[in-house]
Amino acid sequence: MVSKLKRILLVEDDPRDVELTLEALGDYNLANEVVVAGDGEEALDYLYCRGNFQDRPNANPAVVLLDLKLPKVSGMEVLRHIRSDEKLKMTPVVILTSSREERDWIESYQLGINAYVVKPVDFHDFVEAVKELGVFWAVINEPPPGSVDRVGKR
Amino acid sequence: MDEPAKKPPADQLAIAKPASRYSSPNTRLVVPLFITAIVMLFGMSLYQWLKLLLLPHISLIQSNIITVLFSSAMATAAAYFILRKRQHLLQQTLKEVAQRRRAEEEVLKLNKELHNNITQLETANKELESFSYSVSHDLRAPLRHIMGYVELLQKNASPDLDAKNLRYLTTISDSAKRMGILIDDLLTFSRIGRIEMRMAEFSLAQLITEILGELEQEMANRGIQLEIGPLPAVYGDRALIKLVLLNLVANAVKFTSPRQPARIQIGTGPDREGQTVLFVRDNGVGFDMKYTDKLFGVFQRLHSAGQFEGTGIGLANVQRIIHRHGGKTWAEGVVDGGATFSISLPKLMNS
Repeated sequence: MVSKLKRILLVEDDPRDVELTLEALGDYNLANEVVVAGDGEEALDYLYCRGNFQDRPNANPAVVLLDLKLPKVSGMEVLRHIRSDEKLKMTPVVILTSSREERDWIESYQLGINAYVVKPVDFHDFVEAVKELGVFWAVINEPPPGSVDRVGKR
Repeated sequence: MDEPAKKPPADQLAIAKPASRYSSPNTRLVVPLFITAIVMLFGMSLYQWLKLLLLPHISLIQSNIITVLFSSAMATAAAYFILRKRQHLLQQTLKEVAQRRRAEEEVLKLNKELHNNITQLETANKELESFSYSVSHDLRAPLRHIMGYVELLQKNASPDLDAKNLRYLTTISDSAKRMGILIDDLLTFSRIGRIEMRMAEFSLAQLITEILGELEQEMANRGIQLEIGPLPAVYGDRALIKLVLLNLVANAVKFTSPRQPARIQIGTGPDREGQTVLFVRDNGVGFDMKYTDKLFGVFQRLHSAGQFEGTGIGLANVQRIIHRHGGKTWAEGVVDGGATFSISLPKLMNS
């Protein structure tokens, strides 16, 4: 059924936000394409295939949906790691945050993000935003070399 | 408030006065000492007189003792009278010295207080910044969750719920939405106070045209009579001033909704304290002048949400922006007799 979907790494510490995001992505059957990391450290473990993720197939996600305010390692630090790593630096990163603060917005663009999305408070708007992000980055966009290409595999 | 200064300010007087008299005590002390010395010399020659006229048979020692005693007594008496005469002057001088010292201490104290206040202000500002940062981050998340889960509940449980319970869910959702709007408003208000201003000269007439374009939808089919006077170029942050005028004109449009025809006037008034005055006048529902102080407060509203929509942040933004430009805001109104909102802006730098 799903022909060419790619993995989404969702870095989000709030389980409610995770549930609502998966709910939104569920409408396009994108929910099972999502790996969830609950903090910055877990996100880095996933990206570097270490810790709990040492056995995962070695390919980068097609997009990282990154929250900024995270326990242990902040989103901004995760972003810095991604952008300074030879193998990861091309991976599309979309900031998905509650923060409208100018300094977050400017700093993350300076670090080379691909998009900055403020989570809408209204649920309808939120569902729309997440759906569009999911469809665009996991379906429409052609990810850089080295990304997961999931043709009919789990 | 800004009366021309006819006499120097009080604090200047307090410092200048003791300083000018500060050198005089030296002469005041020297003069009595000098007189005392002369009297003593006079007393010394008294021996000659004693020997000649009164007591030719007294011995040298005796006359010397008498002379010394007498001249000392005279010198002491002279010194006493002179010093007593000068005493009040001396006391005054000492008092002035003390006063001056106190004034200096006061100045130092005030300086220290001022310094403390600045530090406190800076801290408060930083706190405010981190406060709005956490509001932005943390307060919005639970709201999104409330709305999200209510929505999911509505979707899943609608078949089992009666109209009353469905209305409860809608009310929860609407309230959360409204809180979201209030938080956004508050964040905008806080950002307006912090963002860097980009100052430039720009045409007000053009800005008003732009604003009216943006309000086209609100003004459609209202038959509003617009009267726009000649408008000058002003100096300021165009985006912020646009927000000010957009607020004022949108308010005028909103509060004239019961009027037929509605009239809105935009123009300049006579200069106030050397600043350009702009006003937006309408024939709308107006307001009671006794609430004029509340008009520009955050989330202060003079009308119920049922009468006129809005959160009450608009005029607070207006005031904050105009204050940042160094201008003033004020309003005049009559209940059911319209309102005039005025702002003043400093003149162009080169004029």
